[in-house]
Amino acid sequence: MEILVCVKRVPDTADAEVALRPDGRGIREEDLAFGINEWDNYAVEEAIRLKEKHGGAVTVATIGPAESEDVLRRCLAMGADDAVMIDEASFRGADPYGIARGLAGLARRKAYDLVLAGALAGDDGYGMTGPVLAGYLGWPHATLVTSIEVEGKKIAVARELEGGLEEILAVELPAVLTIQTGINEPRYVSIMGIRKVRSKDIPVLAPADIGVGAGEVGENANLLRSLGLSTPPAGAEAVMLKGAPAEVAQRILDIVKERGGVA
Amino acid sequence: MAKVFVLVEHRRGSIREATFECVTLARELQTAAGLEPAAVVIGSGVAPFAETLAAYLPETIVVDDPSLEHFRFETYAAVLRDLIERETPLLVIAPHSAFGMELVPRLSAELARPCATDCVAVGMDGGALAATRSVYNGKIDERLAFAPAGGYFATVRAGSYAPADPAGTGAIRAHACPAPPAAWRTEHRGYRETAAGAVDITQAPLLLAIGRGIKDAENIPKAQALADRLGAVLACSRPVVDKKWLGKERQVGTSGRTVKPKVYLALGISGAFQHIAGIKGPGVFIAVNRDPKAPVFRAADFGVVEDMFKIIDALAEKLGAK
Amino acid sequence: MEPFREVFWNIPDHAIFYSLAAVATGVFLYGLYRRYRLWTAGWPEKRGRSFDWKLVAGRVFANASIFRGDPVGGVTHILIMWGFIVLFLGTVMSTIDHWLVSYLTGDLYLAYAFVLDIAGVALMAGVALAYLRRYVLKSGKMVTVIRDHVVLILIFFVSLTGFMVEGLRLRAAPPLWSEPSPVGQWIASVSALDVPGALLAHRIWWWIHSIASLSLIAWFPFSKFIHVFAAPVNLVYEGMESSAFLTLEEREALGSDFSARQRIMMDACTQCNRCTVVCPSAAAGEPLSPRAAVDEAGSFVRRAGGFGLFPKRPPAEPPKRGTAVGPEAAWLCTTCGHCRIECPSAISPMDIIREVRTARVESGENVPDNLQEMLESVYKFKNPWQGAKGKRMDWAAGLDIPVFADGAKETRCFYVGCTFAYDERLQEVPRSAAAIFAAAGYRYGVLGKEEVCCSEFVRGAGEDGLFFELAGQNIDAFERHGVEEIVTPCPHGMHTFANEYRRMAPGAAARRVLHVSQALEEILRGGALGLEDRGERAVTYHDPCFLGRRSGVYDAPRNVLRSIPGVRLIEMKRSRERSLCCGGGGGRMWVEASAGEKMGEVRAREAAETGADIIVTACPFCFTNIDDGVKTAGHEGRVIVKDLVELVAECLPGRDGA
Repeated sequence: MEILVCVKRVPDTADAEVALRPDGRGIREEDLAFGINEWDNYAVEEAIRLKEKHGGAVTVATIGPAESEDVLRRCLAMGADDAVMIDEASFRGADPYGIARGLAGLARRKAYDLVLAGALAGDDGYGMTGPVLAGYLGWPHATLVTSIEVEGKKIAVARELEGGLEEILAVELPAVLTIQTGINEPRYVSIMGIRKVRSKDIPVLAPADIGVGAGEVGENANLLRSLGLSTPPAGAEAVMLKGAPAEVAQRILDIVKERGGVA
Repeated sequence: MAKVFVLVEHRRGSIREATFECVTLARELQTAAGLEPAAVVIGSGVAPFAETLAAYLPETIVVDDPSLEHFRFETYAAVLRDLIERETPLLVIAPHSAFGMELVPRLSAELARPCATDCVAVGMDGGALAATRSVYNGKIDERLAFAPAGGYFATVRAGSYAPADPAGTGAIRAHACPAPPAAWRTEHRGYRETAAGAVDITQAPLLLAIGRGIKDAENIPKAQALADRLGAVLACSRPVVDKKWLGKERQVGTSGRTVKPKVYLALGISGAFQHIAGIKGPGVFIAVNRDPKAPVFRAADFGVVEDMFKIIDALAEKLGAK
Repeated sequence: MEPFREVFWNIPDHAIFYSLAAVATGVFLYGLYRRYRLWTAGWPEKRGRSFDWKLVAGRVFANASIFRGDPVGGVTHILIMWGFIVLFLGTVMSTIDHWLVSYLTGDLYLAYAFVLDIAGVALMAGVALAYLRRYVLKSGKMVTVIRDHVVLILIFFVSLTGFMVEGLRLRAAPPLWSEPSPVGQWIASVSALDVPGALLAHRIWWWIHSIASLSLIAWFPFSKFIHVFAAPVNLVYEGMESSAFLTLEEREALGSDFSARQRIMMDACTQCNRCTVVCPSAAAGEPLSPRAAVDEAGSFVRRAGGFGLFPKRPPAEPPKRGTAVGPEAAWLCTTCGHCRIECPSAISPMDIIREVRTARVESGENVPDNLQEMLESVYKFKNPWQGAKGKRMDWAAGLDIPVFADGAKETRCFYVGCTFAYDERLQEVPRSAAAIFAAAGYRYGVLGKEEVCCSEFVRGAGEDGLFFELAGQNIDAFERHGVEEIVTPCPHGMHTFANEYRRMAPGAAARRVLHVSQALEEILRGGALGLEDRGERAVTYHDPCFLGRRSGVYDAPRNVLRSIPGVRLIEMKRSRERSLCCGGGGGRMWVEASAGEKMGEVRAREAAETGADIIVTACPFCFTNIDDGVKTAGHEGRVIVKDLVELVAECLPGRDGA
């Protein structure tokens, strides 16, 4: 089974302070830690597991700045066979449609059976690159996938729905799937593992290599255009309880008693 | 007059709550942009749903066909392509859910009509439609404009709009299901419950919910002990379940359970929207997080900026003293 | 006639004996060769020039380390060991006498005969004591398997049959002189055999004795007897200073599992179980036995090397090092180092376990979830707590702390450490240190956002590559800012800066490394700060493993405590070298055992039993684990946990006692 996995390097903002750049068009990156998008990490692990079970090869690809090479090397160390980067310059500022256009060009270069992507990215959270890519390729797709079973020319996948429910979908190959977290437990990637793939060649493809013409992607070709970023007001609605933990605890218990009717 | 369509999300015989949040947005756009709202109900035997929606919006379009029994991108997209071509709505909105995420982005690409996903607000900006999205873990808001095209899509984050109340009586109009293609490439095989378990967090009046801040599986018993003393049921956010520290049946949020407790006490939960969207009802929401900028404080009624373990200890002490 | 002994008296078939002896010696030499090959299949460790003869001599010849804490075991071992050596030398002497120069005559022969008789008695007494100790006194807590009985009984049997031969010879042909062989004489005197009967019996017993002895020789290198060679070799290694770590390139090129020294350690182990007796994980009831781990690893190495009397073809698919120790046990070691100092032969089970971890981490399989997350956090965030880089100086909010990158011109670096920087409770410790330094006019700078995880426990968890990467970043930062001295409140940082960084960057050795307790000792000398009395308090001090056992700092924190007015120090049952680990080292902060009590609880209980009001420690992990232990073991309200630095800062003039 030939699998292409699309990954992205993103900043970890879960526990970090996120501040805007003075120009208001992006965030300050100096104090942020970057790494593979969490959802993509599950996708890479899933692809490798499929390969280990059914044979074939896994290629990881990204469109991003030069630093993204670290993310690709990490994927190679996990067990991906090849990695490829698409020269970011012409994609700078591209919206998910532009990114998907580039990835579609890449996916057409080889007879892939499956393209996997994270269900969404932890930075902009569009959750649309995968299905849009499927649209450009004209392949069937499934989003938010939490399990994959191969059945010959078909796969059966579970899609995560709301409320603790999954739906089972049979999908013909080739197909595009977006992977939800929790589908597997991604393996650890050691520095030694990364070292072992340090000399592996990671080709950088130009837009022409993937059939994307000049001006077809990038900021000017975007369907979605940013009007600017802003910092939302913090704690705008909550009444903040202040004081020592003991005092706060008492207030919480009072509220619980008052509103919850619990003894 | 240009139209705004609300795609009605329903599953296993009932309309999903998020639909009515989209109805609220459609009504707002009617006021702000003069768009004519209409609900679009697609499915098999969905006449009752159309009746329901008619009580909310002036127009409801129904596409009823046995082939549309279960939601699938292929079948729904075929219907919508046809419908959108004929009716040319300016905007189509749907919940940003497993339904909306599966259906709308790809459809937008195929129709070359821009789609803003996961919007927390959609409105007018200088005479044009604009969407607000919440990015970087809810720490930054981004405003988006659409490149000029015949029409647009938006998917709306759960909880961004209050669910609408019924108002008036609308017309119901049937739209024929287009002829199916020679072969489908996907097939619906059924549903599977993942949150099976003895604990029912949906019925508990008092929920003690823990998130990423619990740090370690070792700390779960501490939280459980506090829940026991409080008479609360222990719940959690997604990361805790992904790490298998608690069962899926305890997860609150869009991919877990929707809860309506009298009191929701969230400890160490940052407030990802997928989680917040699972907390409904008029209950009181208290959030404890050490990050003063955590998005959870925007959803909570009361907030405490403190290390969750200090609060656990202090609560345990107070309860012990009684 | 001068006293002497005819070697083959009453034995006509010399050729048969020599053939058998040749076979036994051949097997012996072959076995030694196979062991040697097994050892040298491992990679060599880099060693420095210095050498500690005293350590080697004391442990090898006087068994000093066996006596420590186990006098009966010490006596047992010294009786068997010296009995064996003397009898062996006696055999060598008699061979020389028979074949080369005849010199065992007259008084020399008489003394020789007497000494050998005593040695035989010692050997038998040693074996008897070994059984007494195992089954009556039950003092050793050792594990005995069939192989051990075979060894002990064989030794006993060889001595016994030796005495039988001697006694029957004396019975059959009493010499003209009075032979000083009390045991032989006694056997001769109680024997009821007539001369022809004694001659026959002597011949039979002679052959039994010979075959038993030759069997022992042949079996020697294939049994735990090999420790006779391996243990001294390992002690020689122990006496040598360790030098550079293997680089990642070297590690990558390794063609084998385990280093030569680690392989020697496995063969030096006699399964005496002293390591497991002191192991904090085992004591808490967790499924880890350092002894068993060494045993398993030894079996692994022998299996992989096809070792045996009849050589086996090594398996086609070489077994994976990650499986050399059981899947759970491999992650339970806290690297507290107690096993290593307890082992008479200086075997380090924790090093062998760590080696297994390196293989697990490298393959990415069977790494516990939380540990994996910790390692990923260190990789991504440069600290184990997923703390954002921008928050590394949060502890210093509102304080005026000199930061190197902001132009602080200092030669002393205060390395804060991740847990002190990110744990909100523990941020009080660097804040307290800053207050003391300010009061004392003690100059320093901090690395601020340039500071990254010391990665001591990252190495402990087997992730060498990550350790090198982050250690390299710290070393670069120290060099960039001209740091000559490092002071840190974290023993893990201190240990790795002092003992491990110098093994990867020669320049690092020149840097003086102090734990903050040592800095405080200097600052407080002579009552310099005028600490104020905040009331009578009984405190007990918990020695962090990495400050005590691993770095040898025991007195500085105690001296600091003694210089605080109103503080009375009570020692716990287990303190200093014998301090009980809190369970936080070697990555164990992030690994939970499937069974057993929390080590932190065990230690908290022990501390609470002293009746102290305050448990003082000097390590962020110890603080966390013991503080948790106090809460979960129900000592809350009776005893509190504090860091040494906080206790001092509270008594600074003008500060409120907390």
